[in-house]
Amino acid sequence: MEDVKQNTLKEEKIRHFLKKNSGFEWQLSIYQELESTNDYLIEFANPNEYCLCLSESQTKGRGRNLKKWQSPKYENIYMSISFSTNHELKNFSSFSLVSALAVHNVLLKQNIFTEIKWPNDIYLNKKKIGGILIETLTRDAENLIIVGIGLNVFMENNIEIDRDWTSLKLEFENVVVDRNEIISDIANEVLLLKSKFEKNGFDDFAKDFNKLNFLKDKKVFLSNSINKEGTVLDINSDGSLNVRIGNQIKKISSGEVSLNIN
Amino acid sequence: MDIRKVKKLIEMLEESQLNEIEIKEGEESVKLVKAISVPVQEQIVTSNVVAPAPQPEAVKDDLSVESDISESAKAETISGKTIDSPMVGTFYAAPNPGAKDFVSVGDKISEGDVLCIIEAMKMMNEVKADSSGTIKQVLIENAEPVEFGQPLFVIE
Repeated sequence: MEDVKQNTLKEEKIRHFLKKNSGFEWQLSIYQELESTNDYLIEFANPNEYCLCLSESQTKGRGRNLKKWQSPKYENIYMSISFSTNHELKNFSSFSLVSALAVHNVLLKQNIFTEIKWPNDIYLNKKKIGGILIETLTRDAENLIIVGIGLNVFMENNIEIDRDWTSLKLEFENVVVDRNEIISDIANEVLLLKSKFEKNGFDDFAKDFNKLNFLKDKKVFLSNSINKEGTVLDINSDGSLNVRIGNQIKKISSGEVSLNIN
Repeated sequence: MDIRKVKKLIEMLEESQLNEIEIKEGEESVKLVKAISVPVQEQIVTSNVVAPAPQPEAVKDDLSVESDISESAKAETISGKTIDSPMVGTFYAAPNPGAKDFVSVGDKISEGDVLCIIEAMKMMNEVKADSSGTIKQVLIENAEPVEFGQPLFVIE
């Protein structure tokens, strides 16, 4: 494995890849250490620009419900993208799934086939390799969307993660990846799919998502006051998940859907 | 107390293994008791304990509602303006678990203040006040599912 430090985040490289594929002007911020790239953009994002915030490490990287996202220095990708939309936020929830498709598409170009655990966890060989947390707020009367993406790249050891996880390095011993390129590709792809999503909604993406539906036919436990077991069916055209509970089919739009290990 | 909230409580009670639910919010309280037509094993049930025993079939129906909501409290409820959920999702009263709630009953709020987060498909959406006022009621518990347009807060 090449020394990861030779593969640090480099602004000129990232700008090069960003420019190659998109006509957008990005506001790019790169740090050696941040509490969280999402928090940075929540505070500083300009709603009139596309912002990309990167950090080599995060001291307070987080997933849903403040679950800690392990963010050791140089090892993985910790990135947040922000943009504004004039679409109503109530119609924007399913973009959460689309952002995971963006990551899937970029990895597929590297011949890495990932699946997606609804709504937007990235799985490789049945283990979690990436997660996405999206936060929305209104600023200057604009709806601002902040897409935070964590993707495990070189990390090989971490005793603090309490579930099956993996990284590109663990799955492909001789993997040669440039985080600069993957980050730029993901940013470009997120914006590309965002344009499609704003034009046509989630409907067009539902079919793609159903092919990558990691939970399909699996037994799951639904928390969020339902507290029941069920079997996952398909994803609906609004991005919600159909789960069969007994003889009933329930549409799930929020809350945790956990794999039932039993 | 909002009748929709009472209805929701009835549904929760019906689905649960509890025999009764009592909710107090300031001066208002409502107690719902299941009409039980078969003997139920003696069990101690508190609000955060769910009895593991299967629910006897006959217990499902016939809920009686006992309410000691005073007339003045009812009138207060109607006089308030509600802030409704902008989407289907899960209601979060605080920015993260263990943190202080964004707002509580009695708080003065200004337009633009964050009142709660609605999570939908792991997208966390801030809900802001669209006018100034005082929080009279919080109509929903933390981490409960909400429907589009469901009232979340009463403000005055």
